[in-house]
Amino acid sequence: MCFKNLPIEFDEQGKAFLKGGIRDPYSTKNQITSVGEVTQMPYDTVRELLARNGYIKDVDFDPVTRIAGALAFHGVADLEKGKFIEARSMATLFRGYEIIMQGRDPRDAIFITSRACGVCGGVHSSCAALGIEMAFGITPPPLGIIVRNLMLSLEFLYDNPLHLFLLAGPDYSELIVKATTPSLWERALKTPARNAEHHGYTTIADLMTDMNPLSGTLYLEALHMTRVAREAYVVIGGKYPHPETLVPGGVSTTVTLQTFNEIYTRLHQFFDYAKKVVTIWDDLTEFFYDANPEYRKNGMRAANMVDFGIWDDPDVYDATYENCNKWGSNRWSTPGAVIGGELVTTDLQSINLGIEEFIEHSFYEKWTDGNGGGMKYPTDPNGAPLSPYHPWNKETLPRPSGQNWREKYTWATSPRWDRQVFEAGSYARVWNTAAAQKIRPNPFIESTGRSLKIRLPKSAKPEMNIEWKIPTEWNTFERNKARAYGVAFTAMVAMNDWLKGLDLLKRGETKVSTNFEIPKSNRIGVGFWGAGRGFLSHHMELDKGLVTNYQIITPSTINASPMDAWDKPGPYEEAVLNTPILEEYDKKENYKGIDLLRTLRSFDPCMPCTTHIYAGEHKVVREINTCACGVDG
Amino acid sequence: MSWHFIKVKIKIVKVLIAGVGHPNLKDLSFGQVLLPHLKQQKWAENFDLENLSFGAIAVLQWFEDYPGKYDRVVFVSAAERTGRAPGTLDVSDWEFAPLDETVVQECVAESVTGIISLDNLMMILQYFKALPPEVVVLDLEPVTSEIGFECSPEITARFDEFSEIVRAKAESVSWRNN
Repeated sequence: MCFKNLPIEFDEQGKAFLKGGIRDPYSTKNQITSVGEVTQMPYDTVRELLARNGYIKDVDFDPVTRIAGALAFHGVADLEKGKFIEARSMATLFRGYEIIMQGRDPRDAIFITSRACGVCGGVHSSCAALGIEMAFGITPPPLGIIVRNLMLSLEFLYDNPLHLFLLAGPDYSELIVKATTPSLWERALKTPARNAEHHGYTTIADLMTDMNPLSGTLYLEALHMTRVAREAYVVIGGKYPHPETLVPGGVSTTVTLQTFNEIYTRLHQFFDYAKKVVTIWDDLTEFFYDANPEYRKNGMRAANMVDFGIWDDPDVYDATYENCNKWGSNRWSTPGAVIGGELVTTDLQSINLGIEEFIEHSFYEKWTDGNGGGMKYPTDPNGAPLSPYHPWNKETLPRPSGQNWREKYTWATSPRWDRQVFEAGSYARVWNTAAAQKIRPNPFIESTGRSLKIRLPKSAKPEMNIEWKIPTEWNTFERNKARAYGVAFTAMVAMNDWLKGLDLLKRGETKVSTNFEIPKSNRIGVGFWGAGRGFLSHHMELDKGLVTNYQIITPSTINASPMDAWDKPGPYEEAVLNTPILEEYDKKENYKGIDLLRTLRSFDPCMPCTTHIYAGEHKVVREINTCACGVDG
Repeated sequence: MSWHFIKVKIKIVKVLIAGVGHPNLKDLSFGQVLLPHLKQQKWAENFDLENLSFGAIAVLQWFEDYPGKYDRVVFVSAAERTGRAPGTLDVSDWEFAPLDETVVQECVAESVTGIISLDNLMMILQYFKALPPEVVVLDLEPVTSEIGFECSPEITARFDEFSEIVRAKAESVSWRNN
């Protein structure tokens, strides 16, 4: 029984049914039980404090995007108590892929939705292809699935190191640490790095120096590694970040032994790189915890996270909704919903049933009264109950209006699972796989139920065994650390897929796609997939060979979500409300907001923006850098 | 009568003409759309024409693959800038002004996350010393930047004019003492 709030129960055979005896089972007036609940201070109280207390500062993170801004953040900081009392996340742009897709040939989704993101467009292409395969009733051949898996891994090997060293990394660099916490820098100078033998840095200060933006060796190396991953990607994707070879039913690229060799010459470079990345983030995390245990509260929130899992098993994946639990659990990365640190389900169907989107604080009109009136799909294709707020029942009805903290203030919706505030991230894959113990036998990755053990093979550096342990607390540092382990996880998944692909080639199974015809009847499909920063779904309805409804939920929509129907803040908002202000500044005008920025960036926010902090009359410039997929309704 | 020989050192200048911009945004895609038009013309062997409308970091790495290959680059692009009349084509030599590292980091962050912009590209290429000594920038103020594969009729009608400007800049005699 994985649901605490939704009116769904399961019979002895595991078949879901609607709980009886509830008048309006999906009404948002029904009480819910929240895990790790964080509340905003009442609006009027905050305004009153702002008016009479000089230490309470209205702090705007105003999107000053020189080119294309999308994320803004408003907070109210109590500088005396060192905490935030109000936090509001705002997606400032409407991109409307859901509307663009209406009435189009479903195959267009592969190319159009890719443009939702400038970093990881390929994940949208794949996700669209998966949904179309379900709707069309087609399955790619094994090698087509392997190539798709490889493309995904290579995309993450571009994306995750980029975040760790080019976007989030500078927050931990000498330049920023010296400027925001001079005492921490003094400590770093004297603190030996525990993993010096693996990454080569004697002290934490040495490491921080090489994380300096533009000039640090680690920064420049990450720039270089983006190239390595991209080169491998285009061998099979044709183009990056918007691939040209993904089609429903597989891929359109020709794959030979040479293709695999060209990929391997790049992939193996990530074996050693992962050893370095993991040990660097281990050391940084420990350093901050040792320096001040209060850093454990930076970005803290309940470990509520959901992920669909990724990387299909070519021997099991059949694209059907009917069998989604089976092929889902065979993915290299196990699907899962973690609530309060506990893995409550790994069934794709249950994960799907639990998703709802709310728009009480978003610039959209309601499409349902919540009581099921006019609901198009009261059940999923297996007969399990669906909420009127589920993406298959959702309509995107944009309604721009003025910003009002008590009412509507963002273009992001509030996706919730079992009505719980959850987050998305590459780390959710690591967590779910570690906890589920479902990963199929392979030479590199082992799930223990409490940890994920990864064997990184010998390359220029000797073989190394690493272990990511499920943390007891969930915060900024654990997000980054798990993301670093995710680089190793991804590299070794890619190696498993590479070996499998080679085996298929040897057996002469070179077919990479399946023929299909576009069905004309009414049908639905869904792509359960993942972006570099986690959870990604494309729910679609087709009729007469055209798209009649298309709903995308991206990880940054989830993380940047505003308060929901129960006024529970979204993940960014929660994390900021829990973040202590540990920055050292002589006067409040010199406050730079580094603690908050580390918090937001630990989610790897995915909207192209440069966010400036504006504190009263003094403007402090910092940026929150991201890509473009978080602002779709 | 005595003959005086003057020793003349002739260097063939290698020139790159590069289109830069997001695709499918009508005049904002000017750099990309003009390129096929230019390619239809006859160019000497020392001229390369490339579409560099990908992320600035990838373009940087592209330049790093060919260190010193080019003596001159002519960038063709478009951007919406305040105070400029639609259809204006600004032609300027890149002046290699000192860069603010904070701004360059912003450019890098935007570039690796999918933003394609001439301004980002120029600053990143300059910062990482990937630009040749002579850089010319042709920067158009769009008449329209809606979704569309082609430029607006107003801009398309002037393609020959723009092409002549590109050619003049690409073929101009360099007086630089390299």
